[in-house]
Amino acid sequence: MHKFIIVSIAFLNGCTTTEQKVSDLVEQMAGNPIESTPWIESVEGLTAIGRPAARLLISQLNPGHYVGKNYREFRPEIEKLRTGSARVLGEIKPRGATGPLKDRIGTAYTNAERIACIWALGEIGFNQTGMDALRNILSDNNPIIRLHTAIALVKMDDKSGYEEIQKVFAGNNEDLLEIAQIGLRESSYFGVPILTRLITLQGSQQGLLTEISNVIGDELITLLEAEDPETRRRSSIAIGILNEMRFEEPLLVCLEDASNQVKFSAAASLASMGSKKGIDFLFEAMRNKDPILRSNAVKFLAEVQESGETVQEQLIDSMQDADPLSRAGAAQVLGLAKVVEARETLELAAKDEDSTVRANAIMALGHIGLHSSQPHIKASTQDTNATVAYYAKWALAQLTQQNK
Amino acid sequence: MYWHIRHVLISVAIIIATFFSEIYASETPETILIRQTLRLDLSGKRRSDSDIALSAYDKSFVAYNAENNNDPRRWNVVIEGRQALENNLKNDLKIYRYELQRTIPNIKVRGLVATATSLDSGKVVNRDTGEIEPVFETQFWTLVKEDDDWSISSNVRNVGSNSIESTDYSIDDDIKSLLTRISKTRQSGDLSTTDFFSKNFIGYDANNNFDPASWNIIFSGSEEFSKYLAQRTPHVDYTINRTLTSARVGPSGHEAIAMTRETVLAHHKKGESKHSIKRNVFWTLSKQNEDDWKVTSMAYNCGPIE
Repeated sequence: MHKFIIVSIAFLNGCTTTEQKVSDLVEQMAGNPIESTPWIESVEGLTAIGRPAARLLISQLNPGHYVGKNYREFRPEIEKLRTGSARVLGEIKPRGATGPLKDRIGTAYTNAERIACIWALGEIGFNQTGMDALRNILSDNNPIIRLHTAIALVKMDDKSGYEEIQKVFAGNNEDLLEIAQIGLRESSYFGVPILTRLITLQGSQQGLLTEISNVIGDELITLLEAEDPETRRRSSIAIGILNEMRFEEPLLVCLEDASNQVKFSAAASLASMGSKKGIDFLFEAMRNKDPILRSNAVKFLAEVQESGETVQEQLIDSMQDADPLSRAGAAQVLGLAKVVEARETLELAAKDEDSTVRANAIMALGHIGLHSSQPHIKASTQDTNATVAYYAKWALAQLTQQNK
Repeated sequence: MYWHIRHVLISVAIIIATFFSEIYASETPETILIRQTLRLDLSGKRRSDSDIALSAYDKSFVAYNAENNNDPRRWNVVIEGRQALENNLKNDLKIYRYELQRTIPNIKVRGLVATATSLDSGKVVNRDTGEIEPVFETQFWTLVKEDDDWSISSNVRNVGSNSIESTDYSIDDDIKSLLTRISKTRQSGDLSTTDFFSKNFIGYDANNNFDPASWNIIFSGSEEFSKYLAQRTPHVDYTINRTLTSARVGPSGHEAIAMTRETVLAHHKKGESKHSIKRNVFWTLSKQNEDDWKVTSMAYNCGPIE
């Protein structure tokens, strides 16, 4: 009984202390200019407290909060609180913050408030409601708001803001370039596709873009060891897009990762760089007895082939492999990646002794859709194996459709 | 069979009732009760039954007449207390027959206080002469909730949009000294500021508008105002430079209105920021229940700063 009372008192005391701390930091936020040292300290302090402060911070976004005992008569004071609250919410990413944040990105709010809320939405990440709201303000009159919005959308893995970012790097507005640079750095693996796109375009900011790319690359190497497998997976994919040989070593380590998705993503990235070990890993997996590993291998090899043809020759060679699993897998990849050069090999494989190889070769010919394959496919409609005959009919239908 | 007929009849009755009643999307139990109170007033007038009408009113009721002006400084205190209302109403109902409709487009509730705007239309007929006076009147109401019942605490008649350019406003010394004392107490951080406020006081943010229908309630009663002061005072030092620009006291001397212009400077104890604002504050005051004036309402940012 005594223990229970002591624990209860300690718990209540803890709550009161946290509440007091939150209240003090909120007053510090209200009483200091945005971006001043004490204001930043209050943001950091509330971020350190984390979720226990989230409810109050979410309510501070709402204009309806500032009545009754929370009344504050000065609009600049509310701006300090709303901007700071959004900043903290972007750091602690609580559930339920998206709605109140997206409601404060309109023109009824100050630029500081809007930017903080847009930034927080980006940090919280993909959420359909948040993304829709952001897309709506991509046409805002203010280029700074548009740029922040474009960056937030990048952080949500959405491409609708790419053009806005591209415009900034094509221009020479120092302020916008600074915002874009910081935004891309913060975007981590989500920012890699736009970054590589910008680097391939010729412009005056190539040096800056390469510098950002190097910083992100270094960060991604660290993220390959993150606790969250999704972070490791996304990082290994992004590294593949950056396509630099300095990433080979850390990616090779990922081939031993506990997560299959991480392993295959790393192998695909290695393969797209032309790394033999990555390619071997995928081809090895293609002849694995485990159907899940095989289907992963097919999927990733098709992606590698589509992105740069580094595995095309080996895939065609695999059609002569003694192992029927290897032949069937290679046929699948060649079909998915629509490798026209593999037509003859696949037509031959349509007569393979193994029915699975025959079925996959026929399917691949259907995907590739060349009219010249028609006699071979037609012949297979009479195959003794019902599955092969079925796919031959399907492939013929595909050919008719594609050659219309 | 009987059971089915009964259910059909109930459903039909609900549908008919829906068609004949005002349904608002944002309706809450409180707004329904407030509508009922305002309808009680109308019903008493229509039926020439002053008791029914009076049952809708609070004992400290006060009525102002805006005379279709947009500036609250022009409001006249016309009724001071429920007894005065009773006398007035009985007399009116003896002379006139009210044939009015009332729509209530706007109700705002905060805690135990509320405001409403009504549009009355129809006619008032002189029982002796048969003379007809058409009515189209906008009224602003404040209500207070006590023992689960809403009653009307004040009413502004003939709210309008006419503007009169005038700087000729009277000043009352008692009110001037009271409002100065309130600002001084507030500046000193003394939480007894609320002693100057009535229990059912309403605080508004007028958002630089004169039209009371647009004012938002920010404080519901002196208790909430007191909580605000207790939370705010330890963190912020205030300097208030307040000037009384007008004051009007009712004929019986129990009710008054006032307008102040003030510059408020706030210094945060936990920071270097200084916030300031220039604003008009509109006050209504009463000494119906005590010898001293008590603030019954206060509207920050009332009208544009000239």
